[in-house]
Amino acid sequence: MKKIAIVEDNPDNRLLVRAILGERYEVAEYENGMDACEGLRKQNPDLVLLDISLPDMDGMEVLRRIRADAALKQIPVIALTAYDTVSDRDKFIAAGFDDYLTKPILDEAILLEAIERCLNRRGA
Amino acid sequence: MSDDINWDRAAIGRLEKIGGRKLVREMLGIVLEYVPKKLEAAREGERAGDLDAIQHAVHPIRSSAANVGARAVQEMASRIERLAIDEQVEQIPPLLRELEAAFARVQPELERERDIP
Repeated sequence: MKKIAIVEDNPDNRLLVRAILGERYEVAEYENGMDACEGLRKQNPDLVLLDISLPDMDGMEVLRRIRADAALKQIPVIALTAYDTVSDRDKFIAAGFDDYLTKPILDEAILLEAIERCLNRRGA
Repeated sequence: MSDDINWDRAAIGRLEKIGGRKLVREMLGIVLEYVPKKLEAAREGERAGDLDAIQHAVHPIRSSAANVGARAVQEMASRIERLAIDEQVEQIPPLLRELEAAFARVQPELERERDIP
């Protein structure tokens, strides 16, 4: 079973993503960027769903650290964020995210398809 | 009633489709606990004149409100976040009162929905 890490401080968003991913994936959750940076190296997930607005360390910094870490840099990372303008999307993709999804999640199929697309692209 | 409080009950239907009544109850329980904490954090930010704190308090309210269809709350939180980013300090306090009022209007409906077995 593929392992997915959710980095998200909002508990109801974590609940929703966990409910959608259900039995399909093994899920680990992190409430902030610091915990995520420590936990990801131990968990070695196949994909990360990363919120942008996080306490202490934002998602852009978490991504930067993932990409700078030889053990983690190949992991696909999807931005999952309430920042929802076209310029936001361009900014996040340019920063190195593999995909970008906006919250709220109104269609679970979009999330599942993005995950599978990224996993297949990276050959995870 | 739903029009007055601008509550999109379709959001509850989406949750129910994903995870049944269990997910609906659990989601509403979390949101009803989480949003008041963030409203209090926004008030603290207001008292301290800390725009960054206000922005970080109202930002998650947007998606929490959207998850349960509380549109008026979502829209007001979004407006306040934009004003905080743009440093429009004077316009924020009355909108924070409106945000609190919008949540107070929808809160009883969400509680009723949460308590449906």
